[in-house]
Amino acid sequence: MRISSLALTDVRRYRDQEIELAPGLTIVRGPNESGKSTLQRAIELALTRRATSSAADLDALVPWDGDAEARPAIGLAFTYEDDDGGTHAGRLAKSFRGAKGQVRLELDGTVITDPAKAEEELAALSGVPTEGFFRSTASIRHHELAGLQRDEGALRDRLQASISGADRGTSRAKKKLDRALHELQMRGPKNPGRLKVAEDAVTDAESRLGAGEDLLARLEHDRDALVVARGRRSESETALAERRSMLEKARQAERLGSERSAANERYERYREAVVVRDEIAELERTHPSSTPLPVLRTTVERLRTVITRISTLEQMLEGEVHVSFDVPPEVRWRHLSRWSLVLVVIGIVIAAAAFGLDQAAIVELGTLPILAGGIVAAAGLVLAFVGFWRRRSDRIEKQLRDVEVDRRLRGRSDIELELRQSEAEREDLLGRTGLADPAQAEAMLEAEDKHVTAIEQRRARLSGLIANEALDSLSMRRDTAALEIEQKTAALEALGPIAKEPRARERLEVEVTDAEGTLDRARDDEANARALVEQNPVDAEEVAGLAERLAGWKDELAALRRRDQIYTRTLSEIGNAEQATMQRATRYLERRMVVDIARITEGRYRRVRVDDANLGIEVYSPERVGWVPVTELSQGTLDVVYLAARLGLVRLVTGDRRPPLILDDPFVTLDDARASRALELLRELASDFQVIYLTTSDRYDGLADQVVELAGPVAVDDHEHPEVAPA
Amino acid sequence: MLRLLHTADVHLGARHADLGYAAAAQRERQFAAFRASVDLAIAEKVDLFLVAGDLFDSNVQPRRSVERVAAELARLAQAKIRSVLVPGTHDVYDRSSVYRAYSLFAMAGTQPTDDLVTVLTPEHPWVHLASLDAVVHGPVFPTKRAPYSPLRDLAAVQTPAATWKIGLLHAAIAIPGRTDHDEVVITVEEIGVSGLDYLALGHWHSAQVATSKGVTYAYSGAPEPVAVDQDRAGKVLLVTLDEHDGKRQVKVEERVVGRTVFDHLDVDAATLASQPALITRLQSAANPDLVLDVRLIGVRPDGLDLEPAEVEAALKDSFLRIRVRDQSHPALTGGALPPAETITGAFIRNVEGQIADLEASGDEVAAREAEKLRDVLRLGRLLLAGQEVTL
Repeated sequence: MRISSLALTDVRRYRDQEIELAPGLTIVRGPNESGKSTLQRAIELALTRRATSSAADLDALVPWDGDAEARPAIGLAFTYEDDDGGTHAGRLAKSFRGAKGQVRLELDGTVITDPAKAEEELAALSGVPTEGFFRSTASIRHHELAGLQRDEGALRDRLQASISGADRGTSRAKKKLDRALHELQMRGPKNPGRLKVAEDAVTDAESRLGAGEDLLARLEHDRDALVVARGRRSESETALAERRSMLEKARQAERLGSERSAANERYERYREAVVVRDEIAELERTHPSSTPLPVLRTTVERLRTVITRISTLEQMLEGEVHVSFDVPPEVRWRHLSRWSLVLVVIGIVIAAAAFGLDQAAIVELGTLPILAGGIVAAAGLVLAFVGFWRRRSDRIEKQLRDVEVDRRLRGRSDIELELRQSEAEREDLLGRTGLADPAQAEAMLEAEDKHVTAIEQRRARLSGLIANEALDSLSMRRDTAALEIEQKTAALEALGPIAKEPRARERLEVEVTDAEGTLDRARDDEANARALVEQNPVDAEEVAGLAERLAGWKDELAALRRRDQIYTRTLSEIGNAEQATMQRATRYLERRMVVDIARITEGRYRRVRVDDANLGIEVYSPERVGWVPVTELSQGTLDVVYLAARLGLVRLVTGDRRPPLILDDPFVTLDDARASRALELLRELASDFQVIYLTTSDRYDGLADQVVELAGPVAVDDHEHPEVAPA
Repeated sequence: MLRLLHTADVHLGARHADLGYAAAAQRERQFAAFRASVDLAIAEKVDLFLVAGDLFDSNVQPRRSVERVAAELARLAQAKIRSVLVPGTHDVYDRSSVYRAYSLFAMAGTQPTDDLVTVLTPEHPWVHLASLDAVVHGPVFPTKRAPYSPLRDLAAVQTPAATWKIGLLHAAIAIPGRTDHDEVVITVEEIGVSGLDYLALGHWHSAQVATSKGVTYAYSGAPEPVAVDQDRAGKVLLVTLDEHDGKRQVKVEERVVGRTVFDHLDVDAATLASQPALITRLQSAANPDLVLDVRLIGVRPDGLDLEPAEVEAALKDSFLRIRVRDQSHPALTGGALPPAETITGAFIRNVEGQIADLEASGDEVAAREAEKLRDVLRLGRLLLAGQEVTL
């Protein structure tokens, strides 16, 4: 794009100005404050600022002495090439009135008044998308070159800015991202980054929530357990009560059983007693003999005696009884006594003789003779004794015989008398018994004896059964006992099967003890379960708060993580873009700059290399025989090198679009020789680009296609100088 | 005539993960709504106060909560209003149930022999209120999932004779395909043959009334909305049962007791000039009872620097809870791109290329990556242009 004319209305000192520009190199010359910078600014604004912009710097363009309603307006007439190489004309008129600003862009007959569309079209034509881009590429201010020698970093940064696409390098952007990432990612415990803070908060909240949820689960579980324990305790109580009642029954059954046995025993006793009593009564009624037994017995015994006597007497009467005695030979005893005497005397003599001889010590005979003598004497005594006994028995016999004889002498009539007496007694006795004959009496006695014995036996039995109790109440007592048996039996039946089980009481006593133990344990369990529930400090609403806080922290963490990812990605993408761009730029620069620098330095430096990491430029110095950074060159040379680089980059970044280049006297520091060489550079540039060179010097006039002269300010302050006070 | 107040699903102690700092306040509001329903019952001098389940959000609510509820029931008892409650699906009557752990009627200062406060259980599924001439049936199970419909055997239950038969049930009405996995389900047909005069339901949080073969049934809904999208919550029902000339009439009236309103707002990011502008715009909707969910949608202008957390913090006191989510996406680069040989130009072209590829692939993961890359693009653009961006 090449601007053919520029019209300014109410732009600073230009109330209404039109300036013609050449398609090639135009020099705009004027003293300081003649408005050169304003022109540069105006072209920048025309090409890149939206008409509806209300930025403050537009207000600053309003002329000082203009009327209050005045607003800047800029117009351009230009030509541009389309893709096929054909040239077209266009006009642009922008009036900056804030939101009411207007634009009118004419392109080959088409008119565009939409501010956004107009900007798009202009950017496409000029290759300059933004103001920042313009300033970093096509619009060069001379302060850019100031201090390049001192600050190698500044040189690089400025060059980098040219290829950044804005008017500053990427380092600031990268630093900002680095700093932000650092803040996010710091992990030190003393100074944790936001990510770590959030992560720690999430971890902490999760563990607290987990603990809270655990306690809630425990509470639920413990309550459940408490209900179960309570149920078991209640069951144990019921079971114990049931066992106890069964035990009562068993005890009762035992009691009833023993009572019934006692009653049974009593019943048997009384029943038998009644029978016996009745038997006795019956026997008493049916005595075989009307006489009492003792009397009958006495009578019969006497009868027996009498009958025996009678029999004896009868027998005596029936025959003489010869009594013969064997009279023993007379006095055998005497014979014996004689002999005994003899033996005794002999014996004594022998013994005495032996003794005397012995005493006189005439003959030693020993004891034998004494002994013999003694024996003989003893024999004699024995005989004497036998004889004595014989005599006695003979005497007794004699007595008996004498009695016998006597008796026989008494006579038969006594016997008959005794016999009659005895017979009478017999009849009397028989009469007393009321029986016909002694055999009957014997029989009666025997019968009565037996009867009475029977009665006696029964009486004894009865006494054994009832001791001293009254006889008349026996039946009643028997019946009472029977009733009691019935009652006890009924009561036992009512108790049920427990009554029939042997050893039920023992079994149930064990079971009751067991049940008591079980109940104690169940009570303990219940108390423990209740304690667990009551000791649980958990508050469900607090736990709810923890869950809510966790959710909040999780959201925050997710957002921070996303932010971390975005910053990281942005940084890496910028880095990638930078690297790619730098590489292209440095290779391009090296190629282009070599020519320009050789020309500018008249062949001194023919080799250039550019660092593709930071755009640092080095030239090969033949004096030093090595590569030196350009900042070690002289100021003038450095400036030109910078410009060469800068312009090389403009070509690179604008590609086939050609914005007008506006340079605000960047060669001001060069001497004439260098300056004119530099300007030749520009002339060459002008074949591809429109170059508008702003300067105060006229040394370039000869090279320009067009020179525009600007008048300086005319207003002068006519305030008088104050008088200098005398010294 | 019998007048009753029907409420349910108070969900005391519920968790509100999406309410953040306002969650505890909302829990207090839930209790306040319950207290307001008791106030209403006393003011209207009803005869019977019914709670159809889920009074507590879980069985392990703290003693403090139960005591507060008992205090309210005590107030009702003192006003001679009888209350009958049934356990629901959150406060289910299993062994760890809150209704087993605490004796509500005792804590309310009443005796087991008087019928002022009754909690129906599987062992005692109905109560005869002689002085009201009414029987309240509340069939419940000791498990969260009902083995069969609680109305199945209702008609056959033997109770003392009473003029009014009220049902109190925590269940879902069968909707094929929707309630198939619900824990307790009843059908409209079962309601029709239940022989009840009024069936007080709980479980669904929005109020609604209907009849089936002459049996009026209703959900009172939660007295304070428990979550977003429950716009028919916040109410209790005042029910009047009457008999004229042998004909029975049931009149159901909705009364508002809840205060919280949930709402959402979509804001087109393209219309926002700045964060303060957004704050001002939202401030105009300020309401201390409002839970507002704000979504920024559409295309975000490059220059709009927005930090949702800051917006939320600035407006925190004007709302019960405000949540701002930025779901707008930065635009792709508008206008002319810087040349490809510049860093910015290379950056923009590279990243936009990646975005285009990801968005074209169509799957969700790629779409999320593309969202992130849009943010990368915007951030890089702004930083490289030297614009102030807060990071």
